[in-house]
Amino acid sequence: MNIAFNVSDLLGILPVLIVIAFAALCALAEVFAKPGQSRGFVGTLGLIGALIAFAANAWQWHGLDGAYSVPLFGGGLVMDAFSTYFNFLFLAGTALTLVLSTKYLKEHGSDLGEFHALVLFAAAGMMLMAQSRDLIILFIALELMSVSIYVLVAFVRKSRRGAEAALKYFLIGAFASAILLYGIALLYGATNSVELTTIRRALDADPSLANGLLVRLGMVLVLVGIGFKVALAPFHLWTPDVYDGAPSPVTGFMASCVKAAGFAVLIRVFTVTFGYDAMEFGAGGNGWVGVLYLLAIVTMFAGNLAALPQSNVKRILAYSSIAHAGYLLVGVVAGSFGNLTIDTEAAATLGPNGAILFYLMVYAFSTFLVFSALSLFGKDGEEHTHLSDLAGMGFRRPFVGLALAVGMLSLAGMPPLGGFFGKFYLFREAMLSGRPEVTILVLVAIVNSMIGLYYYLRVLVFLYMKEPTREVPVYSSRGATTVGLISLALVFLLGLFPGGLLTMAQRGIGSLRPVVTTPTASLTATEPQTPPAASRQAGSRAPRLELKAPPAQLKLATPINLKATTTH
Amino acid sequence: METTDIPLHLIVLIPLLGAAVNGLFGRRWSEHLIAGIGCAAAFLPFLLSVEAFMALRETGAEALRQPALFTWFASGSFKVEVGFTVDHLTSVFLLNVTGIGFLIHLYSVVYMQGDAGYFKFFAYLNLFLFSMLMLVMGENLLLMFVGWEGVGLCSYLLIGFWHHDNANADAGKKAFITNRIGDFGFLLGIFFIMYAQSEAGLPISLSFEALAADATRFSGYATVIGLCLFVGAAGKSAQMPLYVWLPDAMAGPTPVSALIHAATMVTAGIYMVARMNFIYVQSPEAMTVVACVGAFTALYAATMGFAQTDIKKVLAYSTVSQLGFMFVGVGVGAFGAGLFHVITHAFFKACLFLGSGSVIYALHHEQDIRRMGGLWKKMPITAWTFLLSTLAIAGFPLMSGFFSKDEIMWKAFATQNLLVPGWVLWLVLVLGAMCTAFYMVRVFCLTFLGTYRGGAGGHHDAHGHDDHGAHGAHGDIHESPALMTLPLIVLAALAVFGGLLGLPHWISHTNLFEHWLEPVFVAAKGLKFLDNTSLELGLMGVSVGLCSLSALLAYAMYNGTLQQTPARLAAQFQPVYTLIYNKYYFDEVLSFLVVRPTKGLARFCYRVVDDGLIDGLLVNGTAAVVNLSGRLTRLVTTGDVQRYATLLFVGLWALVAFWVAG
Amino acid sequence: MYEQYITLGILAAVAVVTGAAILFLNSILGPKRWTASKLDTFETGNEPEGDARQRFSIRFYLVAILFILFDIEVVFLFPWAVLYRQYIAAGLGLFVFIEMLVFISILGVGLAYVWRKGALEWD
Repeated sequence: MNIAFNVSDLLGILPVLIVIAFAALCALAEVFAKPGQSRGFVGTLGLIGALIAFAANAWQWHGLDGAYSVPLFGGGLVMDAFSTYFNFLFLAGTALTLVLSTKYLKEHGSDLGEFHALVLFAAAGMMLMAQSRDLIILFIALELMSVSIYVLVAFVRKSRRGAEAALKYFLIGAFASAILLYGIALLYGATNSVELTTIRRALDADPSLANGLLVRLGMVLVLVGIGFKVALAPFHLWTPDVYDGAPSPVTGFMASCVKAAGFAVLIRVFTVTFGYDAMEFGAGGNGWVGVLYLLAIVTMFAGNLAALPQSNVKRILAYSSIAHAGYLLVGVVAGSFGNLTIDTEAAATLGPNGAILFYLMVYAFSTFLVFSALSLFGKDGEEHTHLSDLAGMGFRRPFVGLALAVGMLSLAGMPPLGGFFGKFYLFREAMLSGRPEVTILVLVAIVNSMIGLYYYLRVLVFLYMKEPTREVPVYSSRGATTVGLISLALVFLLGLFPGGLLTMAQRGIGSLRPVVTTPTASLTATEPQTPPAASRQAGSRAPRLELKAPPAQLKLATPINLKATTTH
Repeated sequence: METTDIPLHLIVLIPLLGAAVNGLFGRRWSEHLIAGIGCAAAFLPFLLSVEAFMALRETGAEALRQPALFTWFASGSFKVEVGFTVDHLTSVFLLNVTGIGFLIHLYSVVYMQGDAGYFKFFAYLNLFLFSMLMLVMGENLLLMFVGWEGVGLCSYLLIGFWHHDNANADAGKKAFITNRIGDFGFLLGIFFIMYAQSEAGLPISLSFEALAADATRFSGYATVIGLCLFVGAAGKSAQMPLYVWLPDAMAGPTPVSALIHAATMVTAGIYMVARMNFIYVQSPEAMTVVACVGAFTALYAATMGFAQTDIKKVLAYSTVSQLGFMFVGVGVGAFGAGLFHVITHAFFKACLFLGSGSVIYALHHEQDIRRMGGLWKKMPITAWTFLLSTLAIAGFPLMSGFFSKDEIMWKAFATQNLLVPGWVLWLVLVLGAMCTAFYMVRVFCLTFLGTYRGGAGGHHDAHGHDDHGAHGAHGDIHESPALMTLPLIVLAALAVFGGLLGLPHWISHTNLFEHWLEPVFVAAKGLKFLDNTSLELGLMGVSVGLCSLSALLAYAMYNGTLQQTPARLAAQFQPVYTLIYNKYYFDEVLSFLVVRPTKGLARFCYRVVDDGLIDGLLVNGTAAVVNLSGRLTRLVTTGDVQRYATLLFVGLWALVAFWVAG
Repeated sequence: MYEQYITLGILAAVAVVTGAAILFLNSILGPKRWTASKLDTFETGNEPEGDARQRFSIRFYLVAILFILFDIEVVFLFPWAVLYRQYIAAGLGLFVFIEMLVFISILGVGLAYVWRKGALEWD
């Protein structure tokens, strides 16, 4: 195995490094601070870290040249517009979570600095998930994220439900991790590699291998492992309990960022690496895409129908997040059919996968908008997020009501809010793939969106049309107001002027094209070559080793030339 | 076309800002602060308007424009931009709206004192200014429509300003709904324009510039477009049969009646017809309809002014009638004359309304002219300004109304562009003018001359809102404060001398006003009118003579020797009187023809569609689905972690089976 | 391809069958005499004392987890140290050294945190 190291590779994971450094700083700040001292400053420290990392990420974004990806550390990690786009999302989400939680922790008597450190560690895990191109690194990143989240769910010590939720999440999460790991092992057994690029080459080289038992089983196990994280039915059962029991800022963080990280992996591992047209097994002969197709339908219905009778807003949001995962799967299915990896024409447009990127960003801000308001309901480990607790809140706390109302409407997909355009672009791009089965799937998704209206609007009914029945402790927080205002502005802006983010999403998804690199990946710039016309025909099951993707030179700095190749 | 560095968008945005500031934060502020902000938000746009006007004059440009603020939306090649333009027509309206608007803001400072909704009132007024300015400055039909709807909304809000009284709220609703009917026509007109453009193979565009350039290429649709747009104009400008809302609109505070329901908003319809002149000149049919509806309304509404006893209602019918005159002006193709009447009418009608407001204020919300009288001595400024404006509206020679009204009447007579002969229109208008002179003198006499008939206990609180604690006991009637009389004086001066702006050709070589507007009405150059100065002067003599007669008659009947006559006449022609008194039962007829069938349809929708379909199928169906899914969810989501793990593996094995089986 | 596993398979089968047979025969043929001491918990010949299901202090777990953490550090350090010369030869010495430094410093932060938090103290 060839491994090329280069110190400039570290620049490729600069945001991750910054986040980890600040996470460590937060942990130290916690233990070296005076015992009785408020830990708000730890949150500020973490926020500074997230913002610096965000700036570093923006720097990478500008430094990245167009659609090319830069392999790091011999190909185990990668820096491309795709991962950088997701890092924006994770870092923004982290910053918002940190701002939102400072007062929350005080109100609930858990003002400990570890919270901020854990959020940052989770963020680092997510970023590595989006950047990893190696199943083992992916697994480690996923565990870094998961373990941090397990602790965060139980962070409020006084909350019994939080402890219960964390235990459930941990137990089932452990199963899911094991399943994922087993899948990785099977894939390794079949293809002799854990690197996505090598796996792809092996699958391309031998179609009988691609349809062999080991690969099939490996893929389904990996799918279950990831599907658990993004809450696909039938692996979603933990979601309502955990979303309900977790502290509200953490729930927001999970709904927006953990889900996004899962979809980043789903796109990179399944759509791009495993591809679709070498697969001939499964129902309809569509390979794993057929399975996802089924899961999409089940997930949408499971989420939306189960949300209908709920009376707790956080449970409603949990099921809503399941439903949203279902909508996003529609994009994944359509995007996989769309043959993203070969069609250069497709890379110039948004495509269903690009729409997923856009959707995730909008969904994240809508979620934070809702949770910025929802996290205010409660005190001392007891959260009051029952629908009846919201009664009349639209008038008693107009801004809280507004944030909840607009957030719900955006999640429901009402124009002119961002949520509408997320759905609009996702469904439109899916329809453009032109396959009848995808059209059916989109119709199912639209029917589900209409079902969804019921429970989103129910929240509005309680906010504005019911009289309060009891006194609920609702605190005020400048942090929550800030988060609410930022999210509110973004939800409106992304609805009214989606152009900028769409361009970003398009560029992000465009960078996934050159997935296969030459065996000795060198970091020298090479002119990109256009693939031969024959392989460009969409939907053709032609051999596709023509992908020429020598990565462009990373434009960050002059590389310190430590380049060498060792052989183990 | 001139790009200018005058911040045109600020003219529109400053009132919006004022509305936002007062509306959002004004609740706890002092009245001084609110009034200061409100007035400033009207005065700054006025200054900018003057600047824009001067710039137009100095550069001689056809229009001032600026790059669009942003693209509102785009669909293919069809693009709608948010941008503002000031051409000669707009500049006239700008000065009118901001100038009179500012005066009425000043007036309201005192008039609304002590009202609980003081901040709300000024926020609405500013919002109205914003919408109105958007209406006249928007560079395309859709922006104009936005302003159009905006002024409708403000009108609704202000009519129902004292909404704890149900009648006021109903009046607001009536105005809104009637206007909606008109707006429907407006929208249809816009759609027809787009349809006509696509039929003609033109790029679809709603900007006035493109429309004016291309109008001749879809002339086949000019009639239908013109008629649809006129439905909109008739709604906003209170023409037959959509005038019904305006008299009821007097439920709003008097400054609102002056600003919105006399000087500015109601003239939006005339503005629209003038703006779309290039469409109308291509369709004699549409022009004929506009002119005839205008003439009929002018007479019809004027006769209703006879029997009204509420001072504001008289003025309201007078406004409807005067708007009819204006429509005749633009309808016969004399756009300049029609618009000139818009401006002079704004002066004297605003003055009349504010004067009536001053009286109402002094009499503690007494609006019935039968309980007024003898106020001449007690309120000299109000009385004088009211008198001057009355003379102006009655068309007393050399006053502003004389010039503008006679210009319209002559053009109506002289027009050769319609399907009806001009003298018919002229005859109707002369009758209308006579009625106008009569009822205006009647109102003046009853209000200011004779003896006071109100008595000490005459106070009845028409609006049911907080009484002004500021001014003394009942019966102690005196002149209104300076902030109220100042606008009166300014407006009265304008009402007297405003006519000098548009002197007819037999006095001055060029008619300044019409000359100023010429570049806008290039399309109307081809219209033909008689050119016979001596006939014109003769007809004028006839109309002035008849009007003077009717005015003298009114004076005699209400303050002179014939004081018994009105009652006798009323008794003798009881049916006619009752008919007029009840406004020709038009509301009742409308109610029977339109409202009742609509209600029936509504009942059908409620019983069958709502109760049956929606409640039965959708609502109960939803409940059933919720119920079912609740049960299913409860089966699965037990909270039992062992079961979750089991189901996880069941799902996993199902997938594996599915996967391997295929 | 699988022929060489046949012997292995036979061996495994024999082992399973033999074991199962012995247990089965024992249970049906062997005499059964229950006495108090036979049924008692076997604790290397001593008399059992108290309940076997007693609670352990949470501190044991903490120590165990910390032990694993720092144990793994050694596991990582060992192959690194063995291969370090090869890295130097390949010109990667500095880089790999820095990598390990980062690793150890993160662990150092962890140690400092655990120490200050008081997790290393029994009471």
